[in-house]
Amino acid sequence: MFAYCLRRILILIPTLFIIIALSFLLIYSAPGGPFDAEAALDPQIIENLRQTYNLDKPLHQQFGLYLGRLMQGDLGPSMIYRDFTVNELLGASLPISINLGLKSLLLAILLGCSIGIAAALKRNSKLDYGLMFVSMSGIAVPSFVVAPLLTLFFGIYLKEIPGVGSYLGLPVAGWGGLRNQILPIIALALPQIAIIARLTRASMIEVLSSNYVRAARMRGLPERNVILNHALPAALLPIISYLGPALAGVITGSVIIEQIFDLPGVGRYFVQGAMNRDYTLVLGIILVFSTTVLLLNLIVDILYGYLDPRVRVDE
Amino acid sequence: MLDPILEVESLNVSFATPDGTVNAVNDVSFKLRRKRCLGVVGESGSGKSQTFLAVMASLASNASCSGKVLLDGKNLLRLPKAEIRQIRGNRIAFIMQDALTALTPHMRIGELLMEGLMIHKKLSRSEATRKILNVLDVVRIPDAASRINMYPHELSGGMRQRILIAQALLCEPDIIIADEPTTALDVTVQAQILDIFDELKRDTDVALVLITHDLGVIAGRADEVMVMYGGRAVEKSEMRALYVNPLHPYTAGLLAAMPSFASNLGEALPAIAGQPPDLQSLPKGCAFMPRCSKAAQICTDERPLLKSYGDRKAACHFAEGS
Ligand SMILES: Nc1ncnc2c1ncn2[C@@H]1O[C@H](COP(=O)(O)OP(=O)(O)OP(=O)(O)O)[C@@H](O)[C@H]1O
Ligand SMILES: [Mg+2]
Repeated sequence: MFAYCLRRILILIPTLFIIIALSFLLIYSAPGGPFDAEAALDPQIIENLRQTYNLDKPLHQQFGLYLGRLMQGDLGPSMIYRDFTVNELLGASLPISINLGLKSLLLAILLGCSIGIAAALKRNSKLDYGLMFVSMSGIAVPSFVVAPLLTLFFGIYLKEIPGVGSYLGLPVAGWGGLRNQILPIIALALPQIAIIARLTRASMIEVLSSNYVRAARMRGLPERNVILNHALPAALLPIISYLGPALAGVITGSVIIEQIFDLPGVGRYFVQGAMNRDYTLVLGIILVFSTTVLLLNLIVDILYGYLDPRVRVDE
Repeated sequence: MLDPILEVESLNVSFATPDGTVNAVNDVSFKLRRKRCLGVVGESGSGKSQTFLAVMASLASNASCSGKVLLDGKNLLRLPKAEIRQIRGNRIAFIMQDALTALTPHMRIGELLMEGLMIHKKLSRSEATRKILNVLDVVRIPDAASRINMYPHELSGGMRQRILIAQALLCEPDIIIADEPTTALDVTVQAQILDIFDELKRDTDVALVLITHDLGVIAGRADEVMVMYGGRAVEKSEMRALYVNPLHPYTAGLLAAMPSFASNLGEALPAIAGQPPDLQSLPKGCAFMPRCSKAAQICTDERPLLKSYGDRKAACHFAEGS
């Protein structure tokens, strides 16, 4: 088991290297550069800036320099926010994004699984059809539509109600206490809730019709035991392997959601960085995002082996 | 003879499907007695499993059934769910057809055996463990103390079948129904599993049902045989008499297809030619007619009823008692 984990962790290194190399190539070959917006500057000053950030050197040399610093844990200076290093920017914004992302993921798992199980147990009932219609919409409607609608309803309409408006209404922008977080968390979790609900329903229905669940019922076990002990653990396995893609979805979603709700998270820096060709900032963020997704996938695989005795890896 | 412990009277099972009604079990009656073994024989699709799933009130959701299944004077088909649950696994145990997939893959053998005892018999964990180790000894599971910590996929097919039998024995039910308990196993393991049933018959007073498509499995084991064809019981007979003198041509065909009968002739097994009947449109006459060597006009016009010949019964216009 230990050797297996070690092997999986070692594979992360070449994977990450390929991701960095490709991203590097992609962003450096995009038209424009970090100092285009400052056209008013003297060409000499721009040339100096390019020298400071090594942009005047050939690409392979720049890549070498970048990797060299990366080895020491240094993501380099930001080219747009010139008073800060990328490490500093991420240090300030990452906790906010992690906070938001984890809460959304947790909400998505709890709510998604509950909805899926309820729909499967009441299969083909009105409840089932209703829940599945809502979750189909949740998948189909993009978050940049849902988020403004949430804002409109909770942030504006509810606030207008005389007397209780100040309690019911929610802040629609900025970072702060839990009340600030509710709308972004919901907006971020919504599509994942919908996907997880549909996955859970399908897998629960399949397990409920399996031979061993029939056998458990034929032994006279109460329905509660049949579902909790025999059906649920097997039905939730596919959900665990969906956690990797779910995290990727939440990260992608956060780029838009943080922008809409004006949250000082990584997602917003990512958008700003990409638009202004802040090479180091974008690369740093890609590195953090991909490491997170890869690590979660690793954890999921190990967890999966622990939960399903048939795929457990023994040495 | 002992009083019957379970009586089934004119049981019918049909399934609603998009292409019409499937009449899987038609007017089947039989009795089970303690210490006696009923063998149920018929080819695939003849309604063997559905008959006994109906007894367990465990039919699929598209099924409807009529008739009576009487246990202690109560009709199991009319019993509320909570009461049925106290009978399943406790008074009547059913060993499912597909042994390889009947054990929950993520549960340890010990837990799978434990739950029935804790629910039906309210035993403590330590009492239950003692009982489980006893029963695993009865079904000849070596090294039981370590096997109960294993998962189903770590056991061979024969071992899993033994676990299923142990599961059925644990609550000391009055009736054990085994649906094709040896079909997926190789010949030596088959014989070992069948030995367990022989011992059960000898040592306990359980009423046993062995469902099979192979007359060889119940030869020398069953006391009574019910032959099913097209969802009907076409012959019911004491076992020895059935082997010596089959009343129904279908039974005769099954006997001729038994390996031990044909092997000394050095010939290929004479399988019964033709296809099983279509359960969605059973003919007016005898369902076996198209495949029968004795078929005559009356077989097309009139369905033969199950008639008595001494203490045997058969549904054939040309059956002759002896
Ligand atoms: N849920 C269902 N819906 C429709 N038809 C069904 C359903 N369950 C069973 N049947 C049909 O009922 C018939 C009898 O099935 P049954 O399982 O009793 O056969 P069997 O005698 O046990 O055969 P085998 O030896 O293959 O187990 C089959 O033709 C089967 O297709
Ligand atoms: Mg069957």
